[in-house]
Amino acid sequence: MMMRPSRCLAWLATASSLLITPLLAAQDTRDDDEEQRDENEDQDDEDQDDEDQDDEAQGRGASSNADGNEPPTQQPEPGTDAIAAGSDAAANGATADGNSYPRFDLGGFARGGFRFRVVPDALPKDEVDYRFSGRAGLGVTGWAHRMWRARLKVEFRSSHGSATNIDTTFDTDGDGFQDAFTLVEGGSGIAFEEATAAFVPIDELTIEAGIMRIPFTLQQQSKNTNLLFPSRSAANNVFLAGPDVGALVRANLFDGIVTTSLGVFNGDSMGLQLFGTESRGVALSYRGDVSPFGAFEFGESDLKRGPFRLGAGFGLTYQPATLFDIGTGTEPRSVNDLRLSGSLRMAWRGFYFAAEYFRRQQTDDFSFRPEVADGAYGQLAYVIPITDDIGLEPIARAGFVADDQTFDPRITGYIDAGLNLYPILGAANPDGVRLAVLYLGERRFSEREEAHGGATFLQIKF
Amino acid sequence: MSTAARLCKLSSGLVLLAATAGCIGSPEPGEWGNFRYAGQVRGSTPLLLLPPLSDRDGNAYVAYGSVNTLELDLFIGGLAGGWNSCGAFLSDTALGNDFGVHGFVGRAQNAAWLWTGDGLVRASGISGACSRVLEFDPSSNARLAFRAVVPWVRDTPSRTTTLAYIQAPLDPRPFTVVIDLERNIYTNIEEFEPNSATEVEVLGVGGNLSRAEGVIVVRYRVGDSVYTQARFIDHLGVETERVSLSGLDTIPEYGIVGYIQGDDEGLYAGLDVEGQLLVLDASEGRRRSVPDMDTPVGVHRWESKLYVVGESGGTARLLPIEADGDLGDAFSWDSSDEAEDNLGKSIDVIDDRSLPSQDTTWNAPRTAMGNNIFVHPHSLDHYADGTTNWLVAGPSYSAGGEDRTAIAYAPVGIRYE
Repeated sequence: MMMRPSRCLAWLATASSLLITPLLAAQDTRDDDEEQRDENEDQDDEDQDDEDQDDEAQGRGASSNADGNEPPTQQPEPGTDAIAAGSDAAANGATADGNSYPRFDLGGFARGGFRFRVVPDALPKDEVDYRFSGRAGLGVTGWAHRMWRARLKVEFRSSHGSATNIDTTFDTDGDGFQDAFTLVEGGSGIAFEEATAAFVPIDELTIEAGIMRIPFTLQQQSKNTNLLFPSRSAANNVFLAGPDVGALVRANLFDGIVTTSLGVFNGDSMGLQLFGTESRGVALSYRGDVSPFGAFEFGESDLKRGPFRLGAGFGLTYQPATLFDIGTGTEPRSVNDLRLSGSLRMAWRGFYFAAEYFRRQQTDDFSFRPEVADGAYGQLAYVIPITDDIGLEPIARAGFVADDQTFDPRITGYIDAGLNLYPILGAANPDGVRLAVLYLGERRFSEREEAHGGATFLQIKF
Repeated sequence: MSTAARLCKLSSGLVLLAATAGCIGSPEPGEWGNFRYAGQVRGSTPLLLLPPLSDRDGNAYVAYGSVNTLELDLFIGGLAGGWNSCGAFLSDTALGNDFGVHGFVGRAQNAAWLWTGDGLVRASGISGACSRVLEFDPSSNARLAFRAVVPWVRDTPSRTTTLAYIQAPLDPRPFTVVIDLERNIYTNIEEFEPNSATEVEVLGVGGNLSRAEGVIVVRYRVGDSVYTQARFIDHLGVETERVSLSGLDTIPEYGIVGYIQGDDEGLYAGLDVEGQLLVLDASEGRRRSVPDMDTPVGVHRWESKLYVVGESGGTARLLPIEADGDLGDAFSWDSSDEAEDNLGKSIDVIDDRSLPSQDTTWNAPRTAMGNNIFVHPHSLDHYADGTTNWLVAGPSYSAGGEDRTAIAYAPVGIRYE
C-alpha cells in the first residue's frame, strides 16, 4: 500500500500541528532505526504487517462487527472478493464497467450469560442480585462507491433477573440519571452503536458523520466485542459513556503508526446535562495515538501473539456550552467542560497491557464551584495456547475514580479479574468464540461500601 | 535523537498541557461570587440564620431560625436559578417542643436535611419542596420526636442514613436508631440505657462522617444521681464508647451551640452557652475556658481541622485546636476582614427568586448573621476548595409593624488563617 502522507498532512496540518511535527521526526527516526534492526526481526514485522493488511483486505480485521469505533478501514478494491457477505457483483448491482458497487459487509455477534452481585451492606432485597442476560449486535458496512461508505451497528440487549437494581442516589457522570452499582447495567432495549456516513478519499483519511463513539479514550476506540471484560472500565464510563452524534476526521498515517482524529459532537455522551437545564453547545474532540514499533490495532488482547508493539495516546474534549432553564428558556449560564486522557499500552507475544488516565474539569460563570474528577485504570492479559486451537487468557484490571474533588471527594476503586477461553484460537478469527468467567469488584472508599460480583458468558462473533 | 527520546519529549509536552489545564485555582480569601436574592426574613441584622448549605448538585439551602426561636423558614435555591420557600409547609407542621432550628443535618446528591424542634425535614433541591421524615412511627403510629440527630448524612449506593435518638410520647427514654432518610424507616433500634434512667436530656450532638461516627452528650438521672456522658455511636447505631463528663450540670438542654465538631483523629470539641469549650475523645473529656478571645462564638471544622471562632475588639478571631486537644494561639481572621472590605458600598444581586431573573443593586450590604463574616456557632459549608457560602443582608423595610430584611446567598473565598 502506498503511503501518501503529504496529502493527509494537507488535510490535518492546522488541527494536528502539535502532534504531526514530532511524528514526522519520529518517522524519520523510525526509518533510521529500521535500517539498524536485526534482519530477522525486520522480517517478522513485515510478515505481521502483511498479515494484518491481508486480514483487512479480506474483511476480517475490521468493519464487520456491531460494536465500537474502529480505525478507518482500507476501502475494498473494486472487483475483489474483499467482502464476506454480499460480494456477488450481480446480486449487488455491478456497474457497467465491472466495479461491484454498491456492496456491503455483514457481521455481528451474540452473547449470552449469567451474572450475580452481592452487596453485603445493602437492604435485604438488594444484597444479592442475579440474572441471565443476553446481548446481540448486527453490523452492516456498505460501499456506495469506492470513496463513499455507510455503516450501521445496532445492539439488542435484554436481561432477566430476580432482583431490582439498587436505587442509588449517585450521579458521578453528571448525566442526570442515577448510577448503577457493580454489575447492574443496561436493561433491555435497542441501541445504535454506530450509524455513520463516510467519505474516504484516500486510504489514510476518513471523514464521517453520524452516530459514533467519541474517540476520546483508548477504550472508546476498541470494539465492544474486543474488550477484555464485558464492559469498559468504570473509570472510562464515568468520563464518557456510549455513542454520540457528530462528525469526525480520522487519519491513519505511516502504516498505522500514527492515528489521529479531530471531531465535533453534540456531547450527549459527556454528561454535561444538569437537572432542569438544557444545554446548547458542541463538543470538540481530539485524539492522537502513536505506536512507534508498528501498527497497533485498538483491541484488548494479543490473540495472534504478535511482535512487540507499544502505543501512547492523548485525548482531549472541550465543550463550551450554554445552559438554559428548561421552564422559562432563560437564565443563560456559560459552562466550560474540559477532559483529558492519556494512555499507554503494550503487546508482545500474547501479553497485553494498557493503562489510562482521565481528568475532567468543569467551570461555569454562575456557581463558583468547579467540578473536578480524576480516574485511571490498568489492565493486563496473557494468552496461553493450550493446544493449537484452544487458548486461555487470564485477565485483570484495577482502577479508581475520584470525583467531586473540589467540595466532597468521593473515591471508588475497582478490581476485576477472570479468565477467557478461546476454543478456536487457531482460526482466522481467533476471538470468534469466547467463553469468559469473571470476578468484578467495586469498593466505595468514601462511603465504606463494597460490592462483589461474578459473570460468565459465551460470545460468538461472525 | 532516538524514537524513545522523541516520544519522551512529546509525552512531556502533553503532560505539561494536561497539568496546565488541571490548574483550577481557588478564589482569593474574601472574594465573592454571584449574589443571589434568596428571600426576605423577619427582623433586622444580625438575623437568625444558619450558614447556608449546598448539596452535591449545587442546590442551595438557607434556613431561618435558631434553637431558641420557634419561627422557621427554609429557602431552597436551584442550581441553575430559582428559589422556593418551605415556610408555609413548616408553619403548618408542628415541628416542635420548646426548641427551634438545631441545624442542618447534612446533604446528599440533590437534597438536604434540617433538624428543627422535634422534627426532621427533608428539603428537595429538585422540587424545592419539604417533607417530614418519620413524623409518625410506622408500627404504632405514635408521633416521633427527634431528640437528637447526628449531623451527617451517610450517602452510600444502597442507602442514605443518619443516626438519631427518637422518642414517642409514651416512651420513658429515647431509642438509638439508624434512620433511612429516603425510605422513611428506622432500623437497628437500641433502647437508651440504663433502664432506670429518667429525665434524659441532650446537651449537644456531633459526628464525623469520615469516621462514620456520632457523639451525643446526654444528661440523665438515676435516682438522685445526675450523670453526664458523651456516647459514641458507629454508623450502625451501636454504642461504642461512653465517656463521663463533669462541669456540665448547669448547661441547659441543647446548651452546646451549633454542633460538636470532630477531626479525623477522633477529637471532638463544642462550645457551650457559657462560653466554655468542651474537648473530648473516646477516652476522656474536659471543659475549659477559651483564652485570647473576648467572645467565643462556636467551633468550626475546616478541612479536618478544628478551630474556635469568635471575636475580640469587634473583629473576627480564630483559635486552632490542636490534635491533642490543646489550644493554639489566637489570631485575626483575615478572610473575614477581606470579605467585609470586598462587599464595598454596593453589590450587584441576581434576583432569581422567580425566573426570568433580574439584576438589582443593593446599597450598604452587610453580613446577615452575627457581627463578623464567617463567625457563627455553626460550622461552615465546604462549598468548594477554599470556598464557603455566606448570607448578605440588603434592604430592610417595615411591614405590618415588623421589620423584614432581604438576604442574598453567595459563595465566598475563605481561609482559616
